[in-house]
Amino acid sequence: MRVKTDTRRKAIVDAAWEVFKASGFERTSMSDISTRVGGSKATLYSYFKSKDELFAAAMEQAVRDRLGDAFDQAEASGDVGERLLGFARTYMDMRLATDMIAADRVLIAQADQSDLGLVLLRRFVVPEWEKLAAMLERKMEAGVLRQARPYLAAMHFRGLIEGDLLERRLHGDDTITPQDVDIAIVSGVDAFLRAYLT
Amino acid sequence: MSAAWEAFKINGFERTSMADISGRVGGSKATLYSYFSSKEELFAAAVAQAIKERADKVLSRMEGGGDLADRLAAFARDYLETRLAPEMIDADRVMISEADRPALNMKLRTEFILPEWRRLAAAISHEMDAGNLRQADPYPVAMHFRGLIEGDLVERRLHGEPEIAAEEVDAAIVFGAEAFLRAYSINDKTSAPAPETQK
Repeated sequence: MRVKTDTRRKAIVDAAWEVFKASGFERTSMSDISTRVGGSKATLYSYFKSKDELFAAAMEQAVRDRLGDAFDQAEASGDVGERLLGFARTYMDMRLATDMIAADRVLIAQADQSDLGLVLLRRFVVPEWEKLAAMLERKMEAGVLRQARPYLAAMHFRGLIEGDLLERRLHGDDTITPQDVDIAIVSGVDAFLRAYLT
Repeated sequence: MSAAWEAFKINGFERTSMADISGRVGGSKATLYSYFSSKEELFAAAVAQAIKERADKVLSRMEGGGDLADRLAAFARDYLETRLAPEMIDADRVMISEADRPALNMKLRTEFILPEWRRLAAAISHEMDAGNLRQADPYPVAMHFRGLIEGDLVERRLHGEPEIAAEEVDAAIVFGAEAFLRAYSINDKTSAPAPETQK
């Protein structure tokens, strides 16, 4: 009997992400994925008990691969402006990446029928923002940033760097240039610092 | 038009046919086609109407006279009420799920969404000229205001959160407008808006 391993699990998750990306969530079956990985469906089900669960794991992995320790970096000490600029760049690269946008579209399109999108948001996205909020809170305690609700300040940071870029990508606008993203990052961080520096 | 809207909402764009819509209206398909030459055109008209009906009221909040902080808060309240409403979230979901055929979305964005944001940018530009906000490129400033008041609220609604609590909307408005004024007001840091408004 095959022993469950992290390597095997990662191979399944990576393969699943490729299939979801190529065929979309709805049109992908567990058989498609097990064929791609090269094992039986039974093996696949021993790792993930549903397609939803596999999609969740695949999305989490894709986010982690892109984001790395960006949110943890945000915890580190140092100049808050530099930290936020570096973080904003990693975040926007992840957020606007083609496969992340495709996954987000799938989750949004099926939000009427499934709460998967909301579950993923709460399980993987909120905790990352909480890390940024914790960093901002420490900067508030140190007197670098003014006192405010930390999580809301993190959402302000996010809104400032995203502007309308995320919505444009979700709507299928592929005319956004790397320069547009750079401008959004720099001007967003600038506005955030003006709003929050003491 | 409202029949079409109902049909798109219930079945999604893809699964709705012109016959479904004419069935709801109670006329013939030929009559429907005499108004709209395609399903795309009908969806575009439905979205355009939904935006137009609401945008004018929302934008007029910014364009009147009076205290800027009050106007920003009034705009923010009406904007969020509109943006987070079920029919706008439904329309957005349809647009997002149709994004692999972007021509229709780009037409909707160019003709109906962008002009409304440009109108906000024009109002902001006016405040800059009047010396109430510091000089900057008005459109990105409008996007900053929008981002500050939206935060994660639109994303949460799009992903299926049924509603955002009134207290949370209030906080988004009050603190969003406050952060905006700190970032863009001429007398930054001294012009915090009025304390939390009562609903």
